[in-house]
Parts: sequence; structure tokens; C-alpha cells
Amino acid sequence: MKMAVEPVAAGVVKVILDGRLDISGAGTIDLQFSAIAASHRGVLVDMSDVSFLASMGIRTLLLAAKAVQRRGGAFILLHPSPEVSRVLEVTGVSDLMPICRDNDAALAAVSAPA
Amino acid sequence: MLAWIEDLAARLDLTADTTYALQLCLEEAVTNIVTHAFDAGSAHDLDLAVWRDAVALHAELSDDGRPFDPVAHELAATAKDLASAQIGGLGIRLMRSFAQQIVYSRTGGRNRLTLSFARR
Repeated sequence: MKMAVEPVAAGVVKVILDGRLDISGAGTIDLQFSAIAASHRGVLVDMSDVSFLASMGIRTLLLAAKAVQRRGGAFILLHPSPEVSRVLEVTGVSDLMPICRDNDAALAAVSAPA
Repeated sequence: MLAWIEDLAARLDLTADTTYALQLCLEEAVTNIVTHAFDAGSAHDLDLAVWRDAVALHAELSDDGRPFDPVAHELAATAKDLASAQIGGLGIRLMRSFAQQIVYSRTGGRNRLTLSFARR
């Protein structure tokens, strides 16, 4: 699992994930991902290249989303694949955080002042 | 385990959907067994067999841990909002959705979990 971070605006980042967000992938990014969530008011997670999502990966996303929301920020998922979308729907996660399929709309939403 | 499943998927000519379901359910089942059935720091064994018949693909996990039945496990309702969302319990929900049938039994001091996937 690879993770890249691009600044979008002050306090807002795009996190690009690439690989399998399974128990091993989640373990690889957990520390860095939670540090980003703790220090930004807007986090856009590009899921385009996430080929697999399991419950340990959902845990990583949920913990980060909770941390951002607690401080009034926005946490948005961008472009999950159909397989990953099904996992998000089955677990109810798709009802808990915005899932966006349009890059510009997602950037506008995540950058909007709280 | 991942490389083994990918090799198996090629040899059994599984579709991408079935391969995804098999990988997901095995990861969730093994995570649950290690978390709930095994005592930390003690040695346990876990066997995995995968086979197919005319109608379905089957995966059977057998372990010598404490009794743990994911079929009988009662699921909490899904959360209404992020603040109240619980972390955990999602693996069993995923297994129930991605496998067509799950059968649990406890015999001879072992948990036996059989997951079946319709062949597509």
C-alpha cells in the first residue's frame, strides 16, 4: 500500500492511496493517515487505485473521518472502484461520509469553510 | 495467503467477482479467528481448504481456538452518523454479504467454518 499526500489549500489535503487496503495495507498507513487526519480540517481521499478494501481498512478510514469531523472538518472519499463501493455500502460507511465521483466537486466540498 | 489465493483463482478459473469475495471473506474470517478464538502469545493452528463442485466454490477454515461462531453472532444496527459509528463488527457483515452461504460447526474441540460462493 502506497500513500501520497498533496496539499490542496491551507489545512486541506488530498491523500492518494494505491494498493490493497487490507489488514497489511492498513497497518502500513495507519500512523501517517491518522496524523494527517489530526492536523487538517479537510481531507480528500483518492480511492481510484485502491484495488481491495477489507474491514481493517474501513477502520482506518472511519477513525480518521471521526477525528476530522469532531473538529468540524470535512472527510471525503473520491472515486472508489465498483468492488470497493460495494464494501462501503454493505458496511454502511457510504451513509456516514460523502463519496464523490467528481474531482472538482470533491475539491470544492472539502475546501469549503466549516 | 494472498499469492496462494491468486494462484488458486487462476487454476480454478474464478471470475474477478468470485476472487474478490473469496479474498475478502478469508481475510475477515481469519482476522476474527485470530482476534476472538486465539489467546495472544499461545500457539494455535488454522487449516484452510478450498475446493469447487458443480455449483459453488467452497472454503473451509478449521482452528483449535475457543468456540467462536460468526453465524450466530448478533450484528449491531448500522450507525446513523459518523459520531456514533462503532469501529468493529464489520467483518461479519461483509462475510454475510459476499458469501452465499456460511456454515459453522464445533466438533472435536475445533471451530469449522465453511463459506460457499456461487460460481459465476
